[in-house]
Amino acid sequence: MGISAVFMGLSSLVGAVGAYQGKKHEQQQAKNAATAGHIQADQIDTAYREELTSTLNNIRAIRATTGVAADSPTGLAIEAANERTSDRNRTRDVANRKIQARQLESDARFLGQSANMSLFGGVAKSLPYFFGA
Amino acid sequence: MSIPAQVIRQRDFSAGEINPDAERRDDAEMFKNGARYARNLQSLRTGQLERRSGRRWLYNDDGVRDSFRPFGEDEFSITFAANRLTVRNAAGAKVAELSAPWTDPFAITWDFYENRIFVCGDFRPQVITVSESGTWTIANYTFYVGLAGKQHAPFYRFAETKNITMRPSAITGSITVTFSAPVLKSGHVGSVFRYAGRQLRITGITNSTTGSATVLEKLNHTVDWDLTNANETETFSIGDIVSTSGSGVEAEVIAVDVPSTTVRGVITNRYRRRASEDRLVGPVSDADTDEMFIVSTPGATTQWDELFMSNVRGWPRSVSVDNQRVIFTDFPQHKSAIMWSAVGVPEDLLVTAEATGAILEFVQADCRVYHVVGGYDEFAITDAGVFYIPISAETPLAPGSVEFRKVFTGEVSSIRPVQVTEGLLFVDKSLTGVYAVTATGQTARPYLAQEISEFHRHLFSGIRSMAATAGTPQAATRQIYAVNDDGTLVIGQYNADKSYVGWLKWDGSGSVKHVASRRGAVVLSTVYPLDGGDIAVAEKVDPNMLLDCSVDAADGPFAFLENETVQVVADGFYFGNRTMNAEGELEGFDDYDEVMIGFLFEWKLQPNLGAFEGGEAFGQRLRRRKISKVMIKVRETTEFRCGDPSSNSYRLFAGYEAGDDTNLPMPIRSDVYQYRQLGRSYDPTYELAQTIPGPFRLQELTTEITV
Repeated sequence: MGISAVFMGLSSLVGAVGAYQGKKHEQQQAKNAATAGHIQADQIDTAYREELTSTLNNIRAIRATTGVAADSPTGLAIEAANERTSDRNRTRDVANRKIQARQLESDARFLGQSANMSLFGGVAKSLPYFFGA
Repeated sequence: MSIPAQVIRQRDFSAGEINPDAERRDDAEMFKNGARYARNLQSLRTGQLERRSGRRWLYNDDGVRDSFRPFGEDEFSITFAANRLTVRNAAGAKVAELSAPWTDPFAITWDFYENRIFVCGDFRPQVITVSESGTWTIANYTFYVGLAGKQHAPFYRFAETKNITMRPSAITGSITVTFSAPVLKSGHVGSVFRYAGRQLRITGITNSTTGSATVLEKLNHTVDWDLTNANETETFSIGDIVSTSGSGVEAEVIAVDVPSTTVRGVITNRYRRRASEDRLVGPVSDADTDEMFIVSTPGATTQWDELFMSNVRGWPRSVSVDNQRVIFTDFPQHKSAIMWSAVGVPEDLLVTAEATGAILEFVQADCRVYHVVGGYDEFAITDAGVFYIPISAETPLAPGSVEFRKVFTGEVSSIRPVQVTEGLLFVDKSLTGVYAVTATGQTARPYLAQEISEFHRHLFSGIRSMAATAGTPQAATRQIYAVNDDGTLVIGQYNADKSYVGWLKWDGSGSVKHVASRRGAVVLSTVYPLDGGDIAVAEKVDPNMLLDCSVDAADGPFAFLENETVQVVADGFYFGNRTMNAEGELEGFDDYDEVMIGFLFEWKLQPNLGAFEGGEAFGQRLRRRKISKVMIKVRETTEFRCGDPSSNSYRLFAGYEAGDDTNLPMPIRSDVYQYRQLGRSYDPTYELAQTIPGPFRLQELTTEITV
């Protein structure tokens, strides 16, 4: 076994470690993004609810200035319609964000497996240089 | 030094009869154009006065009436009498008679929608329908029912039931409903309730808290959420409205079990299976969920409501139609409520936020809404004032667009207001004051409410009904008719150029009970006191008639006139009193072509004699004065008299003159007549009056007064 073979083996080994670390970094990034996605989904949920509360309060304030009673069935129907619209948009946006987060979690898992595989593959590829075919 | 004569020239009589309290208001324009006393006269659009129109008998019937044109040009006279409705065609022939629930026809309201008549009063609204084949039916007003049995009705949670819960035994089929406190009454059988937004019909009452029901819409589930964390669980409270973050299920919390980390709720929107990572979010709480299970037994919830209008809660007492919606008002269960039907579907009262959906709003004021009347905008007439509801192409009448802007503050009567071109006419609570709401053209204050009877209140007493006419070929003026409780009529003449209404009183031997006007025709419901007893008739104001309740003798016999004393006009001759025979026929007039039988009314006029403010003639106010000369300009007039009412001495004018053929009817004359009056008075006056029923048209009165 010549010196060049040793260097070739070392080179292959170092490359595998580098690829492993790169994939691990990407995995961590995906994990972080997934966590952020879940947090954002909750924030979206909260924002929609706060916006709905604000909208309903505005409706009540405007109606109060127009001489109509606050508790009329039409007033309640208008509020219910706003709630339905808000709920539909809220659940849609929250679901979208959660789907994205779950995809990122899946990506992270895949990247972790990919990192391990790349390290394993690099080690396996370097062995013939050290020990011969 | 002599005091000059005063000459008063009056050729505008448009202000009507002026209140006696204003006899010295000769500074007011209305005084100058008014009369001191006037009966059975009407003013023309150009300001002159003429004898009022007579009335043509239509048919005998009591009650009140209106005319209805459901298809094409066919017009029907609708009589609303106690416990019945009678329909007559244009010839006066009865085409239908229907039993009806109202006992007092003067206490009901009605309006027309296509081929239907909606009637409201102290009973469930009634719908009279005529088919194109001419079949008339009457039925209770019912709510539109969807294909799946869903009632398109208004629902409401009445304040006294706020904390009471409702619990059904199952969510489909025939069930038992149980309330936590007394709710049910016997009248609720057949009524519809909603459990968390889903409908069920009460089929039986066991007691005030328990009843049987049939589910019309599958009821919402009751569900348990298993939460992840006990600390989060205890942040929920019974009564919270919660929703899930992913699946969007909304519910009222009805139980919280912290040890088992369970929250139970009755779904108030719709069931959807739990989404992964669903969080349950409440007003002050937020928790992760692990599972959601349907509970087999529905829970008790406060999220229920019942029909807003029902046999138990009451029905509207007023109805009108506008903007393709039927409008109900005057609800005993909520005095400030106004209910508009869905556009184009009068039976659809399901309140939604859709633009064409039904609307149920409450006026935010302590008031009872008597009526809503349409126009360019709509007006809500309440016992505490008048509100207008703005409507435009930009903001059409739709849920959420309704506003109530007050245009009049004061006590208003429940007399149905009248919609006119200029706006709206209504009567105040004293039943002696008529007000008009008119458009100002200003954006900031688009309507103005003003009294239009300030100088005429003495003419009104207990107004019972009002109507207004459009111009017709016979009477090309717009008039307002008000019926007093003493059976007299007060007629208002619009004077757009002077911004006032001149009012004149009509009386006669008949006692008017009601007035209705459609398409220029004015129909009165009148009672005549005859020797054989009171007789109620429908009669139409007709400028061609010289008498009231006029009938053509050729159309006889008239059973209601048997042996009665009537007045007769034949071929232009007035014959005075005649007695009908026992068969209700008039004898002795075979030689005449046209013989009209009816009841006489008499016109009278005393002019206002004003004074100058200052000037040389002003000194007359300190002396006894005399009417030295009157020049009376008339047009197309028969005989009349003029004289001093205090001494009952009159002179005749415009009658037969030398050379006239008295075998012919009294001639119609256009001339100027001179009258002089003897005697002096601090308050001199004179009177023009009828001698025989015939045309009279006064163009000008010129009066010279001296000391």
